[in-house]
Amino acid sequence: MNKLGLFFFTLSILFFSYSYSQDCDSIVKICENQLRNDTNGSLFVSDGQVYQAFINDEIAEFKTTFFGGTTYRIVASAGSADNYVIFTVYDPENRVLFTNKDHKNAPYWDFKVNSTIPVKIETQLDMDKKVSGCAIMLIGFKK
Amino acid sequence: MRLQSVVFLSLGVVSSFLISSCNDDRKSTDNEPQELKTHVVDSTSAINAEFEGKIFSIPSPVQTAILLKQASGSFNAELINPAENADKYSTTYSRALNLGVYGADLGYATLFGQQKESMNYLKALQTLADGLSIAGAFDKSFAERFERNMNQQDSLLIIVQDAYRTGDNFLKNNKQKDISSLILAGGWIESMYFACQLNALQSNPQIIERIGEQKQSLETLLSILSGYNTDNMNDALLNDLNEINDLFKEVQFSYTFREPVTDASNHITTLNHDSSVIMSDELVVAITEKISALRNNIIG
Repeated sequence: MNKLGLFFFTLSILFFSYSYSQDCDSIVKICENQLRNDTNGSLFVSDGQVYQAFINDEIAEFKTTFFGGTTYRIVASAGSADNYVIFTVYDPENRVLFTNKDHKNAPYWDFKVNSTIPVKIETQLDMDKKVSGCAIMLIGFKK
Repeated sequence: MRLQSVVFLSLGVVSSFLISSCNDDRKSTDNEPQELKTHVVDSTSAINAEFEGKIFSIPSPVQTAILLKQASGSFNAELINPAENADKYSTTYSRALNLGVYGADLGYATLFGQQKESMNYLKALQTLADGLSIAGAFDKSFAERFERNMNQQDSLLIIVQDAYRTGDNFLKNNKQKDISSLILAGGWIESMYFACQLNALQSNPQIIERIGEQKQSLETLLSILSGYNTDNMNDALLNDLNEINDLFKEVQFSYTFREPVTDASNHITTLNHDSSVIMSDELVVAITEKISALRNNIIG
């Protein structure tokens, strides 16, 4: 590789890294807006954490507990379009309780929980729409 | 030598660009915490961030506080870690754990409308956050927002949780997940302490159920603390939590599936299953004793 090639190679790597970091921060803001976007007028309180991943064709998975008497909101985004991320919620017997794939990859969904349940949430990019990138998920709750 | 010069030159050019871009960005969002924005300069910080599956989700201490308010009714000042203790936490480890503890305390005081206590905790949070390089999350503008919304409880909870999320995001982006994990642990332990103590004062089936429901959260917490055990600083904490986890293994959880109902137009699914927690009185007492000892050790 000649010097000019090396220069542009280094430049492109650093640009990519910088863009990625910016990308993640801007996606967090998109998710924050969705967390607050409640047409019923009540507000969701964040659980105080940011779930972040760089994913391509794999599935990210995590376990959490939905407590009874609470309504939760899951928000997922991987960029400016609303429908990049597919998320699926499973019960303790690995049965699908919900997937946003059935709802045009909706960027957020609410879950009214009457009785406490440990759940597994799987998240993946819709490969028809985005093949890799930063994915962010936020969880909010209200009484 | 010339090759190195080219690399350094390109790094210099790009760094200048990045820094100037960040400055531009900062100008456009003066209202946001300045310290937290500096992580953008570290352009590779988020590249290696993984989703980290099960090791991520711990319920917010505020959630437990909401249940406790519903179940116990009145504020109990004896339960919380006095805000003036903040000055005595001098290590990263104790500051991080107690930042979590104070987050739960602030949530508890806020829910019960304890304005004076809440303001004291705000100062305590700022002291600890300062020592953990996340001062931006709990800076002057945070305190001002908090004061402006003093009479709106729901808004206060959102402001506090937003600040914790900002701090969490900063720590994760800066590869300080060990600190982020300790903050989570402190919050979980304090909210468990509230639940156990209130139940010890007056036995309450709702609270006992919530204690038992923490079984998975504790396993998650253990995974987090083991995964980010920098210089084995979490060893003693892990030992204590493992002992509590041994007790939790005796908690039984029953679950019966019932078909969820989805209302697509309102983006909501109602989960209709039945579930319950089964644990003996002796087990509740044993967990209460262990949690109490651990929590009192943390607050010093």
